[in-house]
Amino acid sequence: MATMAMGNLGYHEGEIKERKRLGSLYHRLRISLPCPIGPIIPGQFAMLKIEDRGGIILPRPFSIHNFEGQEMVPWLDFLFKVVGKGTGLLAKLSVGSPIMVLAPLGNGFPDPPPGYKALLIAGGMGIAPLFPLILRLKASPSPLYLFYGAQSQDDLICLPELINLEGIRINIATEDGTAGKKGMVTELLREEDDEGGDQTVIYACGPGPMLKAVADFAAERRRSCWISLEKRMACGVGACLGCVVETKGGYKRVCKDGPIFEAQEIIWRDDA
Amino acid sequence: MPNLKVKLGKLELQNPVMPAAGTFGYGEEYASLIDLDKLGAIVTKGISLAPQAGNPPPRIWETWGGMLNSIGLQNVGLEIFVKEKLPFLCRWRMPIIVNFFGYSSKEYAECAQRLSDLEGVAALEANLSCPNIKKGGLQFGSNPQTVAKITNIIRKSTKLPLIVKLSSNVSDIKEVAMAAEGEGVDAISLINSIPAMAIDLERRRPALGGITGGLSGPAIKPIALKAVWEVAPRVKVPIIGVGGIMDYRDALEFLVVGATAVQVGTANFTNPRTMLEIIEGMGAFLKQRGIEDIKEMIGSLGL
Repeated sequence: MATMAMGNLGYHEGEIKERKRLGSLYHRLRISLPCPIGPIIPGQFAMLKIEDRGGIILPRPFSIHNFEGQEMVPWLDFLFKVVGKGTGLLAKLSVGSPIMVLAPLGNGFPDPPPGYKALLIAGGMGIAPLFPLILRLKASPSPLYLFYGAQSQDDLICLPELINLEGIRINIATEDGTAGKKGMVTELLREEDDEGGDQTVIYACGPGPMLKAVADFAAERRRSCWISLEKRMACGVGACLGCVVETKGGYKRVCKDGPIFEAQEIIWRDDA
Repeated sequence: MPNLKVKLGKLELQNPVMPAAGTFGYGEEYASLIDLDKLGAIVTKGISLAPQAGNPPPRIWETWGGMLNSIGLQNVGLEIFVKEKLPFLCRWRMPIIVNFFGYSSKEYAECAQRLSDLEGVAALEANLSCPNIKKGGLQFGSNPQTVAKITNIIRKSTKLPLIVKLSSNVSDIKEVAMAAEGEGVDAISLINSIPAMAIDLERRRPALGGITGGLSGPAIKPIALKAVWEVAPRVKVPIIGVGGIMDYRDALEFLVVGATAVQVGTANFTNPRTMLEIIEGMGAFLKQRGIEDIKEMIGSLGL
């Protein structure tokens, strides 16, 4: 049995091809892979690991933000905000630097049934996994609506790229009112979303309280709702049980059973 | 190629490298990443009679040179392990060591007995040292008397090679290890993760849902080395060294202070190929120095 089939999964030594600073805190990295990987479904993630530095030993999970093709993907884009040591080190990497990549991991967003309206709700960095979903759904005839919220105008990092896309209707909310409607994106959603009825699928990613509000909204209107969750991870492949989330079916692994879950499956906690 | 074979009592290993319990799931999670048959053995996640939900999240937190975990022994329970996990592991050639635990000596005994009846299980490793559960675990490994008592009960329940995994968080690790040996264990694993804590300063709350957790990774290697070095001259049974092994040099250091085999934990998360790289690195190290048998490394520390 020594030759039991093994896929091409495993850490690959990628290379930073492009590094773009978006505002003061955000970065977009393009990592080229030594051999193409795939298939990739929007919503999946990668573990990124840089050379041992600063006492950091664990790789970090990041949503796959953009990629070319589907089956044979030669590069991956990642969007991140500097929040701690790991992202701080990542932000300092220069073009040409090596970086270890384990991808694709986890499940992805399921497509809406034909004819269904797709309602996407992004909060801040939550745009990262929704962006490739938008690009994918754009090719289908489903009507596409995006509610994009952030603290301030500068935090609407993907807006310049989204605003020129055809066939998508975008509603903006910022907490400080510097762009779009002042307030939370979920409040805007309640005001603006016309009753698409049962034929609507919701996709959301963002901070915990936003996701909870989206889940409540979806439950009230009896709509199918898929959310992307983020947790601290160690292995990324389902072995360590470090990234679990409480669901109606017990603890589930965000890395292996997710990161995409049906909103109604999650048991929402205030401190989650 | 130098000989890497070692023996843990009756259990023969093609090389001395295996995963540490709880860091490798039930093997299937890593099977698409590495060839399991290249390992000396596989050690499963800790199994208990009934399924365990584990501790509330957050469950992991990275610290300087290490990580804290508070998984709390979440596992599928014996029945599902036998039905759904063991058949997959049995497809491979490497020996399967099942790590297990209970909340009472009766549960330890029953678990050991039921695991012994299964085809494909090569050895058992009793966890007497998990820092992450309120009852059981560390409580059973806290002193020589309790270790002797629980080991005696488990020993009577299984004919399989029996390994006990002990904690360094005791006043005298030598006494605890000798107590286990006195009850007829075949090998001793040293050490488990170390009870520890981290704070989320922004929220002024414990970083872990379980408040405290177990520290693992490079930060604990010196502690584990000392434990193995202290125990090795005092027991005749082989020792499996565990704690912060990140590469083949770390692994060989454990052999030099007296371990016969090693378990790799946190490093699997950093790089799933670590164990294979350790096996390759050990072979190359010995070859370069003209050492034909890895057993020459064991307990070779000069003082």
